[in-house]
Amino acid sequence: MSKTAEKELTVLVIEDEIHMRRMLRVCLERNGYRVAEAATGEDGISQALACQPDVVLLDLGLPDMDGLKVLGRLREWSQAPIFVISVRGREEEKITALDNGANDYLVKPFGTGELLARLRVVQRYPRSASPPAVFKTGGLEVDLTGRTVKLNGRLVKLTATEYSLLVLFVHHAGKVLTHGHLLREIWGASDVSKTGPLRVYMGYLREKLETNPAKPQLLVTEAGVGYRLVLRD
Amino acid sequence: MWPEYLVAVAVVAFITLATFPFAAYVGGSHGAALILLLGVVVVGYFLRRGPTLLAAALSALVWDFFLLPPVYAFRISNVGDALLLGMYFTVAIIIGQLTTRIRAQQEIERLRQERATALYLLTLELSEDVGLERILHRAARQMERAFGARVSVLIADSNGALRPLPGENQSPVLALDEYAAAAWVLKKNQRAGRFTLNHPNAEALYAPLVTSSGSIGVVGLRLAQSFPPTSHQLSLLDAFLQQITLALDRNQLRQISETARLLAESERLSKTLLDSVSHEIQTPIAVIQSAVSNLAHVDPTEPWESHQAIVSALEHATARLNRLVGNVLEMTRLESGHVKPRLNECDVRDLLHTALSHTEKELAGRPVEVEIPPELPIIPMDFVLMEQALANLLVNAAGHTPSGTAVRLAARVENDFLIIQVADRGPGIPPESLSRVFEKFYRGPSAPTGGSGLGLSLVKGFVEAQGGQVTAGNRPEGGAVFTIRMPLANIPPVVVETLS
Repeated sequence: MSKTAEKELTVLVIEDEIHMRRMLRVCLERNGYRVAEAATGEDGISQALACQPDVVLLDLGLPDMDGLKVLGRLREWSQAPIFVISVRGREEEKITALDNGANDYLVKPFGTGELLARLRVVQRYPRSASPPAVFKTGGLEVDLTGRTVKLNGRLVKLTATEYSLLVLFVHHAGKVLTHGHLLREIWGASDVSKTGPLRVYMGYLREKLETNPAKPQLLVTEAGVGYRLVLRD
Repeated sequence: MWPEYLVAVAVVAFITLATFPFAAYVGGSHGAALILLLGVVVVGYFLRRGPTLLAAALSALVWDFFLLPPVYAFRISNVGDALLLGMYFTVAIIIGQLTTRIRAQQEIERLRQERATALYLLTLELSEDVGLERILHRAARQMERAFGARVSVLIADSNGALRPLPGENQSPVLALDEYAAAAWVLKKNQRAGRFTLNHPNAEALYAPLVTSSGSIGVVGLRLAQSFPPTSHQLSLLDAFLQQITLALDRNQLRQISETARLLAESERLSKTLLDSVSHEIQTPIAVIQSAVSNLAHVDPTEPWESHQAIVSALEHATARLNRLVGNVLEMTRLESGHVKPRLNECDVRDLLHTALSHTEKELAGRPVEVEIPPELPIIPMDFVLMEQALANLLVNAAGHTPSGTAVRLAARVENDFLIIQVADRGPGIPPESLSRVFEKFYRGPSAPTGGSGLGLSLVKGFVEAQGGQVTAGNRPEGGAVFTIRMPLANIPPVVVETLS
């Protein structure tokens, strides 16, 4: 119950269910966050303008407008991380939200531990900062200027595609990248249903970067949605 | 009619001409009488009664005139000859009568046989369970055979308008006369059309198709003949219509009983669902309720650790409720056809490990053996469905085996199939349960509490939705094993770049 946040971050909760808002407020305030609440989409957008939140928790099932619309309206001017919290757990819905600018997707019901972990990542990597020249997570070290990759201090050789794939993950560290996003960015693919090359190259990257490639700790699979580069100390 | 009389005259004339010159050789007038009598028999066998009578009378006259002395005169010289002529005439008539009767009998027999055959063929065709339309199609074909007519079937739709049976090759638009006749038949439930008093201008003869619930349509016969249907044809038509009615009724009854059976089955299922789900839902809710009231009356002076039991009960109950509701929702999605697998190239290794990482909590404290060959083809599967199927199998293994026993997850390629197996070291599956474990709500005799009986049926649903198969069995060395088989597909390998 100790206050873990060094600087007080403001979390805006856009959620129509009052009990859910109440529980989130208790949990977040106890962990040192400032909380703003909105029960409708319209209210959420004006609150976001008013309090300039560091993180937005957005429910998709809002009474006045679709959460995806709120997401779009917020993304018009705000770069703040937006976490979608929704009971809609289908992959298509996750992909739509992520491709429309959501940073993360938590399916209700979720444990508060999971939410706090994701918030801590945001906290550690403030949104203004582009990735540092040398990006580090776990035993992985990516020197973006020198274009070198080290694992536990040892140099790792990557092919051009592997490297650009990894850099894409570094630029969006902690965020889920959908199959479609990755295929478009790296392969310029228009048909995003052909995920074959992506699977193969993810296999290679894991082979080279994971301590145990069978049990990935860095590049984890988000079933049916995409992959995420995990941030850890 | 007339040609037959001519034939009769011709036969008698021929026999007379043929016999006359040789009368002396065949025993005179008496022998010739027998030959003439033969002619009458022949005529009687092939022709009707009238021509036969004519032949009998004619041959008696001919015999008297040409053969009985004095020849070339109708004069009868003695009583014996008069008697002979009288007897000849009588015998000729009787024989003529008898042969016609035999012939008529044979004709009746033939018609009866035809009718029996036609009806037999019809009942044979209609005995199969084929549904309304096929019944009528088959009946129409049989009627065409039996009547030598073109047969069309018209079915009344819900508005009472008549339409040709779908699939019949005829124009959907009927001539006005035909339609009027058919509509009249449907309304009045009587025959009409050609050869009847109502709508005689129509080309076809129309008869109603009746079931026990009323007329459903009309059958039209375009007879090839120019004379009105004989009584035999009419009675055959009646018999046909009766058989068709029976078949239609049978079809209706079968449909009703099938609907009733389905209804009973779905009622039984929803009752099981209600029983099972209500128990499974209410138990964790009861736990949550009592835990919450315990928390509400907590003594703040007590150390936090003493409430740990309440919190863990809450955690456990919510997890259980969450899993159950998730399973019920998935089942509903599966059964309503909303699960549309997105077959995509999947990395099997990734798949297996994602399933393991999602079941880490359930498998805690168990040695997990994973066996994946280094080279596995990339296989088209729905990653999420397959991952859920595997996770369900792993949770199932954890729930049915003593804690601390090993669970094995293995994949391999065998005869064009990808095989994924989840095996445990528990008590195994009782042989009598093996065929039922995938049934919805089936709980094995030693199943632990807290399961919904849905997990394995979901596995089956998920795997089969992707074109795979799942089977349950026991390992020879003890423990249960579940095997998923997915067909391999030819996916071209991805071209890989080399290190530069």
